[in-house]
Amino acid sequence: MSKVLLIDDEEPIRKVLGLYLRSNDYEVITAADGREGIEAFQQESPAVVLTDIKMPGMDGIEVLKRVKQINSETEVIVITGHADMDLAIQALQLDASDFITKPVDNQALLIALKRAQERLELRRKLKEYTDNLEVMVQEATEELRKAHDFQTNLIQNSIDGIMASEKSGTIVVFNRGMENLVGYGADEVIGKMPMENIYPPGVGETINETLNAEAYGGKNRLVNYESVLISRSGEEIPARISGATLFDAREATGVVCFFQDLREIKRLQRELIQSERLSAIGQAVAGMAHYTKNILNGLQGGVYMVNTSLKKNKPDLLPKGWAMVENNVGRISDLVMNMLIYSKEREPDNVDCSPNDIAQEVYDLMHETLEGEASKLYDLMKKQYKVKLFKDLDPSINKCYLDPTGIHRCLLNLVTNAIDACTLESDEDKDFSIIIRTRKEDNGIRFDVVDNGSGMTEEVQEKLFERFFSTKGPKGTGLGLLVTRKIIDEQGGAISFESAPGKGTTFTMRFPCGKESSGNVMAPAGQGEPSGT
Amino acid sequence: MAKKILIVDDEVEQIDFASAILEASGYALITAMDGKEGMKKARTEKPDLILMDIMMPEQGGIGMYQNLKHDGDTKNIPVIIVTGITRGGPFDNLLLRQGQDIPGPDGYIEKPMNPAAVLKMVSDLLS
Repeated sequence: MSKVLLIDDEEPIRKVLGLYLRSNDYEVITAADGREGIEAFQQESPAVVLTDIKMPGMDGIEVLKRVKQINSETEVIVITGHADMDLAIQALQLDASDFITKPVDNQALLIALKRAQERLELRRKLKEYTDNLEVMVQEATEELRKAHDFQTNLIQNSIDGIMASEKSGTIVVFNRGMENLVGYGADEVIGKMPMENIYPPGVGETINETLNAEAYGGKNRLVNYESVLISRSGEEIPARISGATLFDAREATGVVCFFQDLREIKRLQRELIQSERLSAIGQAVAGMAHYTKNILNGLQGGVYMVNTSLKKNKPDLLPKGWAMVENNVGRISDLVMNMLIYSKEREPDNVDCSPNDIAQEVYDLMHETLEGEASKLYDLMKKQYKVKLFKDLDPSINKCYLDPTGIHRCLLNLVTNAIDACTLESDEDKDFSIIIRTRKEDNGIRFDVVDNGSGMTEEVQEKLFERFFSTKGPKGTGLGLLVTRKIIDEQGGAISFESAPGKGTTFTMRFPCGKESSGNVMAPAGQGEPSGT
Repeated sequence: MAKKILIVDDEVEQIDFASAILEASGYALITAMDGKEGMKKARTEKPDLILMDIMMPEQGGIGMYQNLKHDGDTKNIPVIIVTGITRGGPFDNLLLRQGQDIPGPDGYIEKPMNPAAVLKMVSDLLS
């Protein structure tokens, strides 16, 4: 219920109006003059004051002024005579809410009071809202501060390195992870150091180009891109980089990048590969027991035949026995070489060399094996007489920076497999041929070993990259392709094959050519672990 | 008359080695390079003993051994198995599982072959 202070010097009016207002649910305080009115106002703090203008002593205008001084939000309605319009206007100028004229019309009074009430309500709401707004702003500011602190913390304490730069390239964020990663302090980097300094020459541009291209996560994004950073001390640090272009509305404003240190991961990977390889060698030795027994059997056979020939004067046994010894010495040295290459962590021994020369050496060696004197002396692999070896070398290939010993071993393994693929084919009337081919390609060079032998079924093709899988029974170690793959991987090359049962197989090795070559130049070889046939 | 021995192996080296051992002791020899050819020669040549590899391509040694033991004409010919597989491993099970109704081989020689042991086993089985 609203409280109304009614000030009027005429008692009948106070009575009538007071009665009327009370009957309309107002609480009414009355005062007979201005002074009394102000006192009552101070005591009761009514929200609405209804005052006559013309009063002896303190008049209505003065009451209005004082009330407004005490509480400017009080609604003051003045009561004037018809002739006192100028006083009414003066009152309004002094911030009276309304005026009503004498004789007071009850309806007009109620409306004026209702309006005053509405204004009060509106003001209350406005104040509430304003007060709330202040609280809300305060809360929002607090939240913003928390969020900002949280984000700063997040950025600062992230294990990953985080670096952000403006469009101009100026570095604006450089967190602790970043400091640890590359060894520069944030204070010497932010706003000072060009971004390129943390990359080896050219890498920064490549990353920018990649960010703007589709390849890694789409345009303006970079997802799990592996590259290298260069530390203050000049150490190359393998890192996985993710990043994004930052936008304000539609305009690119900068770039943020996240760097994951791959040093430990790479080291663990190397250790894992090494230990896997050693355990594989253990398995291989067990699995190759009968392969080695066969070699030993051949050696003993050869020795026995040579001895018999000498002791019992049987000259025809001598060349046969000796060829058997030679053949098995070759087999065991191949085996040992493959095992050594496979088990050792080795750096490719790259030199400037001619790929065609390597192919020629392998051709000469295998040609001798297939058609030379040794093979005629001893009918070693009788079906192989039908296997012809050809070469097709691209004369436009120049010197390349590669590991000739490794590639020689790979080619030898592939040609040996090709020969076996021909002797495995049951059609004995077929003319078998093997071609060693070299070709120059955009990014490097290619070696093909093409045979028209037995080919591989899909089942064999799938298992080809399983460890120690062999189709040669006790005559295969399952190591040949394993070693081949390893050497190719070390050179940053790739191996692939195409095969059809009964038609033959083509193995292709691709190598990057030149000193800048690294593992990234070409796709890594196939999937899974390779093995020999 | 010299006793006749059939040597079956897909490796020429092994045939040559076994031949050199047995020839020196005066046996007559026949050779075959796979199970199919081996089975054919066992029927037609009626050898006194068969020295055979168990792991061969196509019609493998196991198949040939089972055929030998199921054929009335050949089942009494003594057989010596020569292989790089160590005795007591999965090979035994394989042979037994595939031919529960047939007897095991008369002799078993592991590679590398010891010439003296081969000669002793052969002469024991032929006497």
